[in-house]
Amino acid sequence: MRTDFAIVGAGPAGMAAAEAAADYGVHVTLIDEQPTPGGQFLRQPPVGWKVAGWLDGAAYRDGKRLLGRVSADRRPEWIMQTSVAGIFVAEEGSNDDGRFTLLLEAGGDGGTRRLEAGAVLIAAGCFDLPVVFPGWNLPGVMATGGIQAFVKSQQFVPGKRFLFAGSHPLQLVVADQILAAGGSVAGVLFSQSRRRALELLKHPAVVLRASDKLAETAALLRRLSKAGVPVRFGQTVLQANGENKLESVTTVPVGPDGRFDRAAVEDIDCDRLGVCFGFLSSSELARQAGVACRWEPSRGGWIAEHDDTMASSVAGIYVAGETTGVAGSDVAALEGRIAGLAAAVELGRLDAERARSLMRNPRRRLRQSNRFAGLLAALSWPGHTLFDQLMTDEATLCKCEEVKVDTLRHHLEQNPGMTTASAVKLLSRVGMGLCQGRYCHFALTRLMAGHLGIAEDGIGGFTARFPAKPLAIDSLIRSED
Amino acid sequence: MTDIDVAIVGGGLTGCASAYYLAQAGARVMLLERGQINQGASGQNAGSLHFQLEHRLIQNIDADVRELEFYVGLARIAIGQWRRIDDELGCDTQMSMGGGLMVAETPDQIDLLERKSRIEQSQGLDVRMLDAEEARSMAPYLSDCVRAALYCASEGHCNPRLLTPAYARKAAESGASIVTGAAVVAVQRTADGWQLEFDRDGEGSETVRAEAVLNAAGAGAPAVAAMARLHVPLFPVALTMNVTEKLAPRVGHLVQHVGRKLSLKQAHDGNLLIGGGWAAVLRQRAGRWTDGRSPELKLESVLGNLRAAADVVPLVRSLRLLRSWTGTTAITADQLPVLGEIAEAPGYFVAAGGSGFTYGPTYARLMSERILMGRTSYPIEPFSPARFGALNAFVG
Ligand SMILES: Cc1cc2nc3c(=O)[nH]c(=O)nc-3n(C[C@H](O)[C@H](O)[C@H](O)COP(=O)(O)OP(=O)(O)OC[C@H]3O[C@@H](n4cnc5c(N)ncnc54)[C@H](O)[C@@H]3O)c2cc1C
Ligand SMILES: Cc1cc2nc3c(=O)[nH]c(=O)nc-3n(C[C@H](O)[C@H](O)[C@H](O)COP(=O)(O)OP(=O)(O)OC[C@H]3O[C@@H](n4cnc5c(N)ncnc54)[C@H](O)[C@@H]3O)c2cc1C
Repeated sequence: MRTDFAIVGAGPAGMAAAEAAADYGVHVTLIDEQPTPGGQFLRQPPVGWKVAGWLDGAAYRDGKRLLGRVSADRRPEWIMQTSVAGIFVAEEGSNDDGRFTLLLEAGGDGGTRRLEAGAVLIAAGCFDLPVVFPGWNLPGVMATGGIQAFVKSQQFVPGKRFLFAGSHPLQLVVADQILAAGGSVAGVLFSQSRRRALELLKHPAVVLRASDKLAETAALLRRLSKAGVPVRFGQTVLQANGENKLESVTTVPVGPDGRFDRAAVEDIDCDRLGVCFGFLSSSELARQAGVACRWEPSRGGWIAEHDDTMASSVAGIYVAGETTGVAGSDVAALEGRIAGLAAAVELGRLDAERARSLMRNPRRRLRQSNRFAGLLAALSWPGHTLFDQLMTDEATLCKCEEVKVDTLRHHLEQNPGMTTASAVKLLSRVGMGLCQGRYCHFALTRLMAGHLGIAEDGIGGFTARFPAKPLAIDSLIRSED
Repeated sequence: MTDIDVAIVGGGLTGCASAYYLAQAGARVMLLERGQINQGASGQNAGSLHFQLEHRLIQNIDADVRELEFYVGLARIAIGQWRRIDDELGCDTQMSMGGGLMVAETPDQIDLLERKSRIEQSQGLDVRMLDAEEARSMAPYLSDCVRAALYCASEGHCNPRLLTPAYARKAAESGASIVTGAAVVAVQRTADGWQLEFDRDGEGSETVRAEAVLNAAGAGAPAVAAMARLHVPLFPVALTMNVTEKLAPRVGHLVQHVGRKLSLKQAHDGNLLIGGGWAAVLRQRAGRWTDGRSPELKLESVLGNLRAAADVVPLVRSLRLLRSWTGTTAITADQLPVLGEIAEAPGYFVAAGGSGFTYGPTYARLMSERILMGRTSYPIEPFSPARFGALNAFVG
C-alpha cells in the first residue's frame, strides 16, 4: 500500500490535517485503532448504537462539526481499528519510493501490513497520567478519563458509587456526566486549595470552551451541588483499600505548602475511584522514529518538539495535537490544520507562499489558545510534592512487572551512579512489561529525581522501541510471507 | 608518581569484572565509564552462554581448525568459572546451565555439525550428536524440521541485566573506585605509566595517573586506543534482539541453529529472547560511524529472526512480540577476541571482541593475572594484539 501522507490518529488534530491536505490534492490515509474517528475528545458510540443527546453542549460544537465534515469526506482513505506498531525511516540513499514504512496491525487478528508514505503526521493524542499510591492497582481504581470514555461512548456507568480525586477540571465534567447517566457520586476532591482551584475553574479550561467558560463551570458546580455531591478542596486520595476490589478510599487534607496532614485522614466508601492529575502525551511512536522530545511534566511528560509548521526534528515527520503537549482539542485542531498545509507544501501540492498566508489565521488563534492552555496546565498541576508523598514504599510502581517503590529505592542505594531511567529499567525490569513503560515512566522519573536529588529531564525516558504495542508474532509472520 | 595501579576504560562486563579481579588481588583500580554501568553491549546482549562453536565462527571451518581448537579451550576455562559465578558474586544472576542444542535441518547442516563436534570433542568439550527423535524427546518444543542437534550440557544463559552491575558492586566492595559519567578524552604516556584525562558530565575534566591502562571500551575501544596513538583493529557491529511476552516454563535450553541466524532461550522472567546475529543499521555522521544513539532497527531483520525462531520452535507463533531492540558490539576481522598488552606501548592493555558476554568474566580474570603477574593461567597469546602484525610498529 502507498499513500502521500499517512496520519496516525483520527482525533481533532489528525482530522484537521487530513482535511487541509486533501483540499490541495494530497492523497491522505488516516489510521486509528478506534473503530470510529473523533479521537479522545469526540469518542463516538460504537457503530450501530444510538445514543440520545450524544455529547450535547456547546463545548463539543466545533469538534462535532469537524468530525461531521471529515468523516463524510470521501477523499481520505480511512483505516480504522488498526494500530501503527512502528514507523521506519528509509535509509538515506536507498531507492525505495516511500520515505517511510508504517507497520500496521489490524485489530481482531486482521494481520499486519505495510504502508509506504511520503510524509507522516503523528497525532496520537494523550492518556491519563498514572499516579502511584498504595492501592492504585486495585480493580475499581480507574483513570477519570477512562471512566469518561465509557460514559461518552456508551452512556454506560461502570460502577455504583464514584469518588473523584485529582487536580484537573475534567473531574467536574465527568462527575456531571456520571450523574446524568444515572450514577452516584460520593464526592469530587481537588488537591489544590479552594482559592487556587477556583482560579482554575474560572479560566477557560481545556474541557470547557473559552466562550462559554464561566457559564459552564458555574452550571456544572450548580448541578453537582443540587445533586448533593460534595466538591472539596485541599483534599486528596492517600490510599485505596479493599480485599480484591476497591471498597473504600482513605483521603487526606493537603496543606497550602502541599504537605499531607496524615493526622486527619478519613475513609470514604465507594466502589470506583477516578483519578485525574493530568495527562501524558503519547509520544512513543514519535520517539521511536527518532523525533526529538523534551520533558515538560505539566504539559504531558515527553512531548514532541516542532517548528512553526509542526515539522518535527525528523524530515518528513510532522507532529500535532497532544503528542506535542496537552493543550486541548482547539489547539489540536489548529496544529493539525497547519501540519496538513505544511505536508501539502512538502509533497509539492501547495505553493509555500500561499501556505504561509493560509497558516496566518490558524497561527494567530493558536497563540491565543495556547496561552489559555498554558495557564490551565499550570493551575491544574498538583506539583511534585504531592506525587512524592503518595509514592510510599509499599506502593507498586510498575504494575506489569510488579516492581515496588521500595525495591527501586533499594536498587538506587545499592548501585550508586545509576541516574538514568534506562539504566534502572535494565536492572529492575520496571517498564519492561506489556505497557511498554507507558504507565510507570512518569512515576519512576519522579521517584529517581526525588531520591537522588537530580533534575527530572536528565533522567531521560525509556528508549522507545518497536513495536509501539505488543504485536502478534503469527500475524506478523503470516501477513509478511 | 602514579595515583593508582590500573585505570580501566569502560564499565561493561569486561571492565567491571576486571576491576573486581584486580582490586581483589590488591591493586589500586579506577574504572572510568562515560555513561552508566552496563549501558553498552553488556546490557543489550542475548545472554547466551556459547560454549559450542557458534554459527558465525564455523563459516570457514576447515581453514580455521587451529584457531577454533584454541577457542574451545577457552570455553572449558569459562565453563569452570561460570559454575561458580553466583557464589563468587554472592548474588543470583539468574544463571542457568541447562544445556544447549544447536539444530540442523538439512544433510549439509548435519555434516557441518559433525565436523564441528570433532573439533570440540578433541578439546574435551562435552558435546554429543542427537538424532531427530532424541532431540525432540529432550526438547519437545522443537519442530519436525529439526533433523539432528548437537547437544552441549554446559551451555545455558545468564541475565545480562544483572551480571555486570553485580561485578561493579563487588569491585566497589573490594576497593575499586567506579566512576560513572566520566568519558575518557585523552590518554598520554608518562615517564612511569599513563595519564588519563576524563570529562565529568559537563563539570570540567580531571586527570588520573596510572601504571597501566586497560582499554575495555567495547565498540569504543578503537577510539580510546587512538587517544594513545594506537591501533586496535575492532569494528562495530549492530545487532537485533527480540523479546516475547512471558509464558510458563517451556524452553529449558539454549537453542541455536547451525545454518541460520538464531539463538533462543526462555529467560528466568518467562519471556523468550530471540536473537542470533541479525543486522541493524549503525548510524553515521559525515561518513563515519557514530555511537550516540542506538542503531536503527530493520524490519527485515525482525521478520527474518522471528521466522527462523518460529520454524524451529513453533510455539513462538502463539506469542506476542513485546519489543525489539538493537545493540552494538565489536568484532575483529578473524572474529576472535583481542586480549593482551600492546607490545609497542608497555603497560597498555586491551580486552575486547568475541562473544564477550560468555567470555567476559574469563577475559577479566586472565587480564588481571597478566597485568599483575605478567603471565596467565591459560595462554592468551593466540588472542594477542600482536597477531595484527605491524599495525602499531609505525605509530609515532
Ligand atoms: C480521557 C481524556 C478525556 C479528555 N476529555 C477532554 C474534554 O472533555 N475536552 C477537551 O477539550 N479535551 C479533552 N481531553 C484532551 C483531548 O484528548 C484533546 O483535547 C483532543 O482530543 C486531542 O486531540 P488529538 O487529535 O491530539 O488526540 P486524540 O483525540 O486523543 O486522538 C488520537 C487518536 O490517535 C489514535 N492512536 C494513538 N496511537 C495510535 C497508534 N499507535 N495507532 C493507531 N492509532 C493511534 C487514538 O486511538 C486516538 O483516536 C481529554 C483527554 C483524555 C485522555
Ligand atoms: C545484540 C547483541 C547480542 C549479543 N549476544 C551475545 C550472547 O548471547 N552471548 C555472548 O557471549 N555475547 C553476546 N554479545 C556480545 C557481548 O555483548 C559483548 O561482546 C560484550 O558485552 C562486550 O563487553 P565489553 O565490556 O567489552 O563492552 P561494552 O559492554 O560495550 O562496554 C564498553 C563500555 O565502554 C564505555 N566507553 C566507551 N568509550 C569510552 C570512553 N571514551 N570513556 C569511558 N567509557 C567509554 C561504553 O560506554 C561502554 O559502557 C552480543 C552483543 C549484542 C550487541
